Amino acid sequence: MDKKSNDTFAFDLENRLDDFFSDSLPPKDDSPAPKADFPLKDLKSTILAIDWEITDDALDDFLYRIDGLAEPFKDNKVNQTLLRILKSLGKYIRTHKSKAHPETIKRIMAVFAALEESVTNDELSRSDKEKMLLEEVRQFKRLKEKIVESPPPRPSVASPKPRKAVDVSQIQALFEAIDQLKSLMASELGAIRKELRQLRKE
Amino acid sequence: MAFINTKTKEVQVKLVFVGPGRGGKTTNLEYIFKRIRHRIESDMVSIKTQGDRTLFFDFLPFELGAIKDYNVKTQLYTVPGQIKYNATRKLVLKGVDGIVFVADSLVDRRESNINSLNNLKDNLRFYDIDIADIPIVFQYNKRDLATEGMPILDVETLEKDLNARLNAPSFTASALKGDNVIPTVKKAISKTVVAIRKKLL
Repeated sequence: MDKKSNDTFAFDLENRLDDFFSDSLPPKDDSPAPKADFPLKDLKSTILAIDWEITDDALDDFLYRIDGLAEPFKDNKVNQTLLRILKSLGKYIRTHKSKAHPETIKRIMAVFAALEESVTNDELSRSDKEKMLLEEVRQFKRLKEKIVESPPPRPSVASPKPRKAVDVSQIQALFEAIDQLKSLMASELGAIRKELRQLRKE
Repeated sequence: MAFINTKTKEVQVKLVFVGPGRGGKTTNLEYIFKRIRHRIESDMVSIKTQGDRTLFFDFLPFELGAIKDYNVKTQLYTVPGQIKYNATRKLVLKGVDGIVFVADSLVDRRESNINSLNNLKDNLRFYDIDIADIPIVFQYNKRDLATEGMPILDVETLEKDLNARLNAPSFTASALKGDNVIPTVKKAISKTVVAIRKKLL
């Protein structure tokens, strides 16, 4: 390994680190971003938070973000309806918490994906968007029927799933670590129990 | 050992913040997250016990971007500092590429710092790693407490206690105020990535 290439590498690395940790905000994307891009990002992060753990704070934030989007989307019926569905699902989880139907989070994800598509995909025609909305409304009704049909007591706080915005491999690494921890703790508990049994015998 | 994908030109680097309980490891990560959250897509994940102590670990993944031809992905972890959680500490150290040792500058934490470093040595040995062979950076945290009249260890003592043999880079810091948190992590990343590159070539 020659010294020169080492020096250039170290130099590039230092520069990259300086840029990355600098105080300045990241350079803005030159491509015209839709106005609703930022509020949608906030909503997305609250959805990711709910997917990770359902807490009152996360749900409050989620509902707050939805309300915040009402104004920017007031002239767009499709987005407005999708927001209404999201709000309704959010309120349902807020009320029933861990007893909420386990499919609710999945539905929130799907409705949000449709909203995101509707907001960010300029190539989508109005009729495409309406078709997408109809499908979401249909699925929403189906979930409502399921909720009515099935008595609730099913725990809904599912094991955390990899979130879209986060690199899958990184999340996998985390889950693997958690799994390892779980089995390690189980084996440690087993060992402690064994020790206790032995002590009792003595 | 770092995860390196030569096909996709990707390097994944694992840095672990280690040190005595209540030394400021999580505060370091929280500050780093605050500083870079507008640049990254991922969140910081913390698993706490009652009373806000770290039970398992904190986890902050982010992409540093391309350096030369490789896309560098960094994962920052903390371990629980409390003595009783050694199994977790050991597990989080699995596959570690670099260490940030966060020492507590308070005078009455001197022994805890030394014990924690010894524990780190033992845990690394479990993975056949000699502490002298792994990139490590020391951070002498809580320097701000001196202004509040709290007795803190002088840097010479901390260096002598912890860094005399390793002679690694060290920083005085206040994680709570953010002083020298970024220089610490920058140094740790740079040392680690350079070490990985040396191993690769």
